[in-house]
Amino acid sequence: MARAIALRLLGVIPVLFLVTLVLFVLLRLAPGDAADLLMPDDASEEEVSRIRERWGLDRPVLEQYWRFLLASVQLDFGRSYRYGEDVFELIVNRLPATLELALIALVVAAVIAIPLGTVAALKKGTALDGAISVFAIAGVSTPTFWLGIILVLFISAEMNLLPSAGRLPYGVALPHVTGVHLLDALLAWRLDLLGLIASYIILPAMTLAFGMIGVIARITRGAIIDVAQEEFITTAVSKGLARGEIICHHLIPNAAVPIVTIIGLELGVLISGSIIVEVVFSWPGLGTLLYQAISVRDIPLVTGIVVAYTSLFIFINVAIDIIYFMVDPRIRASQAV
Amino acid sequence: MLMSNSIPDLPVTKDPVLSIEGLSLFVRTDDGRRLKIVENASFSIGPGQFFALVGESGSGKTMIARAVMRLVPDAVLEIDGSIRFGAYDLAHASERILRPLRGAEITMIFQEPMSSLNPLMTVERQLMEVIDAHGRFKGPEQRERIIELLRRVRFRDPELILRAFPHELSGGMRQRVMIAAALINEPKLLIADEPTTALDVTIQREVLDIIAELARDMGLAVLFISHDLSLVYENADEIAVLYGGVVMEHGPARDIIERPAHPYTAALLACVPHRRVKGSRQAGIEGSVPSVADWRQGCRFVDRCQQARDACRSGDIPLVVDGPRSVRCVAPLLLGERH
Repeated sequence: MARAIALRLLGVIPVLFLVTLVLFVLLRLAPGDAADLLMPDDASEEEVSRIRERWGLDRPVLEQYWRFLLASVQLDFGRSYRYGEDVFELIVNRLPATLELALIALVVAAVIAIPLGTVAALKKGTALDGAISVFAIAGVSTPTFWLGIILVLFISAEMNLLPSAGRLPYGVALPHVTGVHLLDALLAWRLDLLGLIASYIILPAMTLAFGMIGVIARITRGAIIDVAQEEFITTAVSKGLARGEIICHHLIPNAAVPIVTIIGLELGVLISGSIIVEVVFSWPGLGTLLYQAISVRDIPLVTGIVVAYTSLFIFINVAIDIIYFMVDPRIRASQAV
Repeated sequence: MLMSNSIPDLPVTKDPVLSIEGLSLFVRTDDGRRLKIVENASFSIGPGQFFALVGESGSGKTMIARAVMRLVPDAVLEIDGSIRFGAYDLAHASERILRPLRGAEITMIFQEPMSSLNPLMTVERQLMEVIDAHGRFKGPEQRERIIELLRRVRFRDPELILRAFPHELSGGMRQRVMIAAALINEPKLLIADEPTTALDVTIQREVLDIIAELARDMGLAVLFISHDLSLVYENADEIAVLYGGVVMEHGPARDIIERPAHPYTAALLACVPHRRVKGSRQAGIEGSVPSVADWRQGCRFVDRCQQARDACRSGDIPLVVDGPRSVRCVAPLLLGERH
């Protein structure tokens, strides 16, 4: 199993190579380069080309890419044009906020969607099943940005129930350990802050979770219906097991593989969705940083963030594979060879 | 009339373990139709008796097995008549009554050992949960009981089997695990729904022997469902032959094998390889079981019967009882006519 996981992690390398290559070429295909963009409008042609030379922008694209690769394996993605800071450090500072939001959204989605899907499957064909379907379809088809704005308008602006922007109000000091606020509050034993922190997370997390709830609930329903027709469920009934026991020990674990798979796929949606949600809720994570970096064509920062998102996505998929191993002994066996 | 001499000694069936009276089964289809798949079946199984219910696929035998345990949702299967087990009528019992019976008093093994065990659980957990559900063995007794049962289904190294997942076992081994699970709580009735059909021929005999041996040792009543007369005739005490949802013939096993009264039973026996006359071709029965939608008046076997006559095509053919035997045929075979 360790070998299988190591192999998957090695698989990260060619993927990152391809992603950065495509990104590198695309960013440089657009007319105008960083020197044009960053130098003042009245700078002379000579000054611009001097800068170009200094940053290596006059070299062939492939050579630039090679230099980028050499530097990036040492986690050196250069300096942000806009902030003047080290790209890697900028990313490391912003990453915890994004992770916190995405993970909470994911947990919220799973905790709501899996029971909903299970209930829909067990009550297949009833009005309740229909109602859950309608809710699921609403979730899938509601655009994230629209839902975010609506929630901000009604729950924050109109009813004043929850804050609409940022992670904490001004003036609240939280010791920075991990950067994940809920975790930091726990580590510093500032339990009084947990509620405040949560109040900032709820709206963006719900916005992000809503679309996933629909998809996960639909897949759960289908998976449970399939497993319910398996002969070992009949065996479980014939053993005289309680209904709850059959559902928890036989139905759901056997439906877990498709559910975990869809959650893994949805994480891709989660990552891209988080960019929009972060912007809508002024959440100071990687998403807002990427949005700003793109709008000023901060090439090193954009590249760095895309590498970060790609790595994140791949690591999540490896984590999903590990969950497969834990859930299904047959997958364990097939990978042991 | 049937010859009724030389009746073998039957086990005393004063208090049958299972007694089915006038059982009819109806399946509700998705498009709202209600199909009768079993009509007016009656038989009973005494303690320690090995009862074989034999028929081709589509004869309704599996549905009878599942109806006894009430494994098919009421919305799909409607049960008419009575299925008496002890003080209960299973046909109309609630889940509250059925659940403590299932897995403890009445147990079942299935046709497909490959899919009847949960692939994600070790053998130990699957055996433990059926013990836990009924509380007949407690504490360290539970594990001892599991080991004992695994030995009795002829595993040489039970500890090793306990830790195994189903995919690590062969079909025969899985079916033995199923048998162990079915017998662990000392049930009164074991329903075996074609438990050897999916197995290799060499393993079939062993699994059947295990079932018969344990049933004998435990004084267990067995309802054994099979499409294969040759498989059951050595172990069965009684046989009922089912065709198109109707019991065609019923009686002591040896008697039926030696002197089948219904042409269908005779045709089934002619299919058994080692019974066929030297030099003759392996027999089969022409045609196939009529689908439930095609049922009409008269005998259901008429289109495939070599003895068919006009009287076979009209009215209800009654089950004629003669001593321990009964047959549903207007012209049952007589002893002398068979060969």
